[in-house]
Amino acid sequence: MFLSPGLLTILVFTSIPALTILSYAFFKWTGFQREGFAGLDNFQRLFRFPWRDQFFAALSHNIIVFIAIMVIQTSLGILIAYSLYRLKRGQRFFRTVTFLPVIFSLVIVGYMWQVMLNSYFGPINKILTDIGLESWAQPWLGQSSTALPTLVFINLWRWVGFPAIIFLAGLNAISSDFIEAAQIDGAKEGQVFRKILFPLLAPSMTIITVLTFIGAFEWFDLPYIIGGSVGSPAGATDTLALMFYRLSFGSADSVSNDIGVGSALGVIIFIIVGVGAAVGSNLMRKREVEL
Amino acid sequence: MINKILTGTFFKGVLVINAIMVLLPVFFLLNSSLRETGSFSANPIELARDPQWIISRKCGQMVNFQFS
Repeated sequence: MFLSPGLLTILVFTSIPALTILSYAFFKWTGFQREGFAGLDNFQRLFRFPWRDQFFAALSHNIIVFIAIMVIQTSLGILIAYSLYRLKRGQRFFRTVTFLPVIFSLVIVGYMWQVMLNSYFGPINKILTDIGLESWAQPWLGQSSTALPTLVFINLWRWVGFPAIIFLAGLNAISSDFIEAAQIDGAKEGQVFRKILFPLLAPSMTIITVLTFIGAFEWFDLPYIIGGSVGSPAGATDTLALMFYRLSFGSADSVSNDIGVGSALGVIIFIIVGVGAAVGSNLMRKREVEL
Repeated sequence: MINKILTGTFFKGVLVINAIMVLLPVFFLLNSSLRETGSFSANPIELARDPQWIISRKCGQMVNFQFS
């Protein structure tokens, strides 16, 4: 009885929309008009020309983004969190600064970095040129080879404060008795971190890994703000979520949409994220117990 | 070797570099908001010596903010 308001809310706002999009994937569509039952045809069409190559390119970008964020952002998050944890004076200032970009609107962050990285009047290229590194000055967001790494960097700038604060909370929750006992036994700082603090950060690591996985495979906002719905330049920043948007709502260069194939892609993204997050969190929870 | 690197100075350095990385782009955005397009295009890294507060005022008028 007490659970019914919560269950009803989940049913109305989560389960019914998810099941509706699942049903859309099994119908033929003309524009926004639903027609006859299509079975698995929409899923088969997704893996045929012209969408097959786009799908695998977008999927590979999502995987690259996940690995890059997981390795770089999480490592930096731990480093910043530990640096904050050790700091006795000024922790509040550095903590605020670290978390500051997370509270910024992503549209403003996207605009700010687009201006900063502009090939003609961007300050980054200007500084590189001024200090004699002309060859390093690049159209960072305008060429395929650098666009995705640059987006990952912008994402890192925006989000690194989040894992840092989660890890800092995890570090602060560890009883000082463990650390003092290890120090009395002669453990050095590196050993205390490796043998005590890092293993006890496992619950925070689980949260960050699962959230990073979900975020990376649903990555839409930043690539859309920077590269539009087509993942400019030349699809170099395309992701599954952008492709879903294009298929479902059309894009600047192709106004025609295909809700059936779009919904099929939505179901696939849902399965990737749902299964990945469930398996990942189960595996990591088991590891938490082992540690 | 690693123990020699991982000193208090190293960790403070990490925080200072992080603060600079965060605050510099924000400062650049604020500084740019006080400059006209022409001046910005000519030299993007120059300080707004003559802050153009009128830009913020125009912006406020465009979105119907009421300045008293």
